[in-house]
Parts: sequence; C-alpha cells; structure tokens
Amino acid sequence: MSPTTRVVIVGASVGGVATALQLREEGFDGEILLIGDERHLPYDRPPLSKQLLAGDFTVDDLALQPAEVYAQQRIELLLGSAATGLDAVVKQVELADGGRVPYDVLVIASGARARRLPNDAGSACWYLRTLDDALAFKAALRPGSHIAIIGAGFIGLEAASVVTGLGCTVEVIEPQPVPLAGPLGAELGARIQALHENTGVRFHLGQTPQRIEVNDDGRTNVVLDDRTVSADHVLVGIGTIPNTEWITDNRIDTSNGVLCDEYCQAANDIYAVGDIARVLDTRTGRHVRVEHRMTPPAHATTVARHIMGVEEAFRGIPYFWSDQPGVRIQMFGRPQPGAESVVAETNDDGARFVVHFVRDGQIEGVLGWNAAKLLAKHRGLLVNQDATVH
Amino acid sequence: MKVEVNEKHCVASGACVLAAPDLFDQDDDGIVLVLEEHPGETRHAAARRAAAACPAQVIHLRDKEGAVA
Repeated sequence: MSPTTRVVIVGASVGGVATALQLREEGFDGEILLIGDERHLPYDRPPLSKQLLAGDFTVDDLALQPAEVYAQQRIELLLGSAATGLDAVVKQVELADGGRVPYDVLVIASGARARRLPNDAGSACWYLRTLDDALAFKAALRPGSHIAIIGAGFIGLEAASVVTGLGCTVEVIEPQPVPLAGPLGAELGARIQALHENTGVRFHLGQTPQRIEVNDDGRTNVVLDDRTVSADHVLVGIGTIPNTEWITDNRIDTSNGVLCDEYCQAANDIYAVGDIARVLDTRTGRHVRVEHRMTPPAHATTVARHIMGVEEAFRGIPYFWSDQPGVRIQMFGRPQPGAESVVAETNDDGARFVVHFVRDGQIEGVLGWNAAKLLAKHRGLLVNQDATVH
Repeated sequence: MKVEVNEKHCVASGACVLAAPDLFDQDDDGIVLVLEEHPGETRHAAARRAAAACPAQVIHLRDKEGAVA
C-alpha cells in the first residue's frame, strides 16, 4: 500500500470528527479534509430532542469540539458543502458546486437523514434531525401550543416530554400497538407510555397517518384510520434513511447503508463509520448498522488504526440512552426479537431497576431504569462483554 | 495534565469509567466523578481514551498552560 498523504472524510458529524481526531491520536501526519453539508461547526445531535429543545443548552453548548481544535490538529473543514458523487477509479469526491476533491483514503461518514412522511404537505410538518430543524421547531412553539407527534420512538417521545415541560399539550400517533415495543419489549414500552400519560400526553396507537391537511386557520390536521388529530404543529419522528445517494460507485454495496468488513472497510482505501456503516460482526457473521451516539467514535478508532496499518476488527457492544419523563433509560447490548425481559435488581422501592434481556440462556442486553450506577456491574454479564462499548 | 469535567452535560454513560477506571467513577445517578485530577504521565493515554469515549464530550484535558492537551 502506498503511503497515505490525504484522508478525505465526507460527513462532519460525530463519526467524521472522531475519525479525524483519532487519526491524529494514532500519529497520522498527512492532510485531513472534513467535508460537511451543514454550515454549522460540527455539533452533537442527541441534545436536539433534549436539552436544546428544552432551552437548557445553547447552540454553543452543542459543539463537538472547541473551534480551535480543528486548526490545532490540522483538520481542514469544508462546511456547507455537499458531496454529490464519487469516482473511486481516479479517487475523487464530487461536490455540489462542481468541485472535485482528490483523496488517498476516503472515509464515508455522511450519516442518515430524517425519513419524511409521505404526503407531508410540504413544510407543514417539523422534523428533529438537524440543528436547523430543531431551532426552527423550537422557535415555532408557544406555551399552550397543541402538538401532534407522529412516531412514538425515542425521538418522538423525548420531544413529547420536553414540549410538555414547555407548557404545550401533546398527542402522539403511532401505528404499533405499544410504543418502543421493538427495542424495549411491550412491558417496558407500556410503562413508558404510562409515564407520558401521567404528564397529560394522549396516545393514538395502532393508527397510521393517511394524509396531512393544512387548514385556512393555520392548524394542521393529521388524518388517521378512523379519526383526525388537529394541532398547531406536527412533529414527525419516524426513523432515518442513510445518505448513500452520492456514493455512485457500483463496487460499494449501498443497499442499506454502506456494507463494510470487520475493519469498517467498504472497498480498497474506502471506509465507512457511524449511522451509515453496516459493519461485519465476526462473532455472529451478521452485518449490523447501529444508529447510536457512541458507535461512530468506536468505528473511528477501528478505521484510524486500520489506515495506520493496525488490523483490529471492530467488536462493539451497542449502547444508548434516552430521557423520558422522570426516567433515564440506558441499555447495553442489542437483544434480538424474542428475548425475554427479567428484572434482575431493584433499588429504592422499585424507582431504580435493571432488566436483563435473555435468549437461549444468554444475556443479550442489560437495561437500567434510572439506574446508571447499578447498570455498570450488570454490563459485565453480557455475552461478548469483553468488547468495546459503543 | 489537568482533567476537567462539565457535570451539567454528563449523560451518565459510564464510558469514562470503562476506559479509565482508576481516573473516573460515577455517582448513584451515573454522573461522572473525577478520581485523579492530575494524572501522571503514564495515565495520560487512558485519560485521552476516556475523553474520546465520552458521548457528551464533558471531559477536557488541559496542559500546564491551560491549552487543550
């Protein structure tokens, strides 16, 4: 392999930034160019639906790194610039302004975007994926505003919790019969639903939005299977779509994110990190795409080392957290469907507890309910617990 | 090296404790506790791993002059 002198990273969110910094940590001395389509300095996304929306954080609080770090670490930033194409033969990334950027090694960190509701009536619906999304939605809120939230996933329910706290009233619409039953199981999902109902949130479960209508008075109607919800604002949180359209090289499999080997490598001199990367887990033989906040830095370490000639397969334990009314949920692991949930330890009369997700006698996940400290020791019971947490 | 943390932004992931158990701990709510504010040279790499692993970037390492280390 010829010496790498220029690494180009497409995507200036947590995965891209972590890869750039980790390359310097590993002693990479060449050029690093970090390209991002948003105009903001690289920022952190989880607070968008939490502290930023609540008003506890300012935009400056979201910075992934102090601005001076990029110059100190000789990381060149090209912000407000979208990648639109890839020519892996001549090793160039094409940009929206027609520019072409040559690379020796390319790192794909372009992440995912909010999945749009079909027929969302143009700008009648709000989303919470980017800083601009969050600032616009926040600016539109007034105390007493009535908000319809489509999607009872983590983002939708976190937003429900925050806007209720801001004095808004909320109705949540979800096609599934129980919120969060997929990731957490029906029992915990129902418990989280009850937390929200206690704060006045009303749920429409098993209901699929058919269409969005904007009224003359400015209110928006969400037409469901057998009823209509009318609101001042409609917020949509129905998942994401990987940003793979610019990867116009047919040697790279982009059918669900970017298919990678266990070193996060998609092709010769091309890697992928973060939400977009579908990485081979050598323990199970499966390729997994994980959209959690701690996965991108873990991928970044694998990639930076591999670029520097150290072959260390990615072996991670997924981790996420979510803030629900009065409760912080944390989970290590990734239980497969059908895992049984068992309360393993409780504290403070049940206010804090740890749940194990067990399948075939193996603990595939451990969840803490207001139990961060307690959870640390349970993490060690997970299968493959020797791996890096991400 | 000096280890500074911003508890307000801590998300209680415990990533720092996993990366550097002799430098960090968590309180009952999982919020970060610094065990060693001025780690010796041999622990600098562990401190850097912990700072890099933190999902909320609340761990900041400073050199003697106060610059980002």
